[in-house]
Amino acid sequence: MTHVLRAQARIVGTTRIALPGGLAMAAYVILTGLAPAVLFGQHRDTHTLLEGTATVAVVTAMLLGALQTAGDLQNGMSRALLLVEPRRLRLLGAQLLVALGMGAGVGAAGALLADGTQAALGRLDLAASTLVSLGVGTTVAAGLGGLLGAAVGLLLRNAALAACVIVLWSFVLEPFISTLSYSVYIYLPAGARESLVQHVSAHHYIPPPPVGGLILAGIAAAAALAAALTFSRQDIA
Amino acid sequence: MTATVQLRGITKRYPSVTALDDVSLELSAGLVHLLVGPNGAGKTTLLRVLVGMARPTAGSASILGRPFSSLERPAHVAGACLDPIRLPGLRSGRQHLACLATAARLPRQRVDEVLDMVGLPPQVAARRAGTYSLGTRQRLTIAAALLGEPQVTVLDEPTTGLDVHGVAWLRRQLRVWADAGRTVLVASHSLTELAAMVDRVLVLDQGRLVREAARDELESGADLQTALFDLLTANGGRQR
Repeated sequence: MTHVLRAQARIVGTTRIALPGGLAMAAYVILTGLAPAVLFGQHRDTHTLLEGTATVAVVTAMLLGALQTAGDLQNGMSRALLLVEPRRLRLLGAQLLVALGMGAGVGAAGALLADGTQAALGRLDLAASTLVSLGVGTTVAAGLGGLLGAAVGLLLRNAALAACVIVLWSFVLEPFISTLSYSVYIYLPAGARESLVQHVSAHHYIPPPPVGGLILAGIAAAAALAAALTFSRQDIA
Repeated sequence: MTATVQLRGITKRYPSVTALDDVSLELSAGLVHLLVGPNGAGKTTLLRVLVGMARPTAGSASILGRPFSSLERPAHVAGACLDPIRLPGLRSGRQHLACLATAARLPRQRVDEVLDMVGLPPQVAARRAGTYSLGTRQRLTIAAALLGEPQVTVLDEPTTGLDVHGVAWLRRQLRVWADAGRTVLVASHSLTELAAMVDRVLVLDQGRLVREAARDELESGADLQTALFDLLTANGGRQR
């Protein structure tokens, strides 16, 4: 298993797919945290900036995971790998683990960038323990988001379609569901992410971070299981 | 002769077509087997089933007595060169092979060896695979198949895109591999280019194995292409 994992990490490394993820996080922090403060003197509180960072990190991680797995299926890399290591579940496991790691990296980088920016502006207005728990929450949420995205990519087998589905789900359907029923929304990936970054709401119940983590882990595990069942049975083009 | 590859009652049905219909065959070590047939006969599907890329609707395929997917060191047992069109374009040819070598637990120097073997110079191997010509892609795909020095080599239309030097090299290699005791299975339409190197011919038509014979037996006076045309016409196949 470790050799397939190393091969998959090398594949991700050589395609530099994580680079856009890092750039997305930097762009978000600069455009929403640093630029308004420097240009207009408008400062955001650290928790709000970290919540936004977590949102961008999770969606970015999902997109990267989906592009990685669906892209490998489409461009023949999965087939090439299966011709030298035909145990499909090993390849799938390696892809999911690498997507999880890549997503966690994006989340951690985003949280560190946001904290660093706030510190540089002299606006780091949270206790160290809170900063750590928010950073961990963002990292966990983005890691599980990466895993979920990778599973979606394997299920849909088309990178463009997977990206469209993830964007539509994250920016249209989930917000829409939140307006219909928040009690349902908290069991969706976005709701679980809000729990992990300790979102505060005066109107709705937000589960504690461990519960949010378990919900998101459960969703990701279910998607990974569906992907495993599909990937182990389907023909590889 | 020892049978290294066995297919038993392989049937592969897609929703609209039966690509393979109860195909059984054995391949022997030390021989070059040529798989021929008209377009849509099921040649590529047969190779894909053999190396586990397509799941058969019925039947079983084994290499050295086991399904490809359950071999302990699969890259050392079988190497396959399928469709060269689809290659990851973002990484270099060398990086592509290095990824495969890592997955197959092969030393890095094996990458340089196979690149040299297929005639891909270092400056070409360092370029992104997306910039490669069809012939260069084909060489890279063949190099990937050779990484583990496999006992069974499976090649689907390996001459596609190759220049005259590449075809000449491939012809020589087919013989070298077979003489070294390996099993070689080639699916190709390039009968004139490969016929002289072939030991046995397997003829597929409309998903069925309609003839399996030694090349000499099949030719019987005519050249292989003419003999196959006559065979397929007599078999009542489609209008060609």
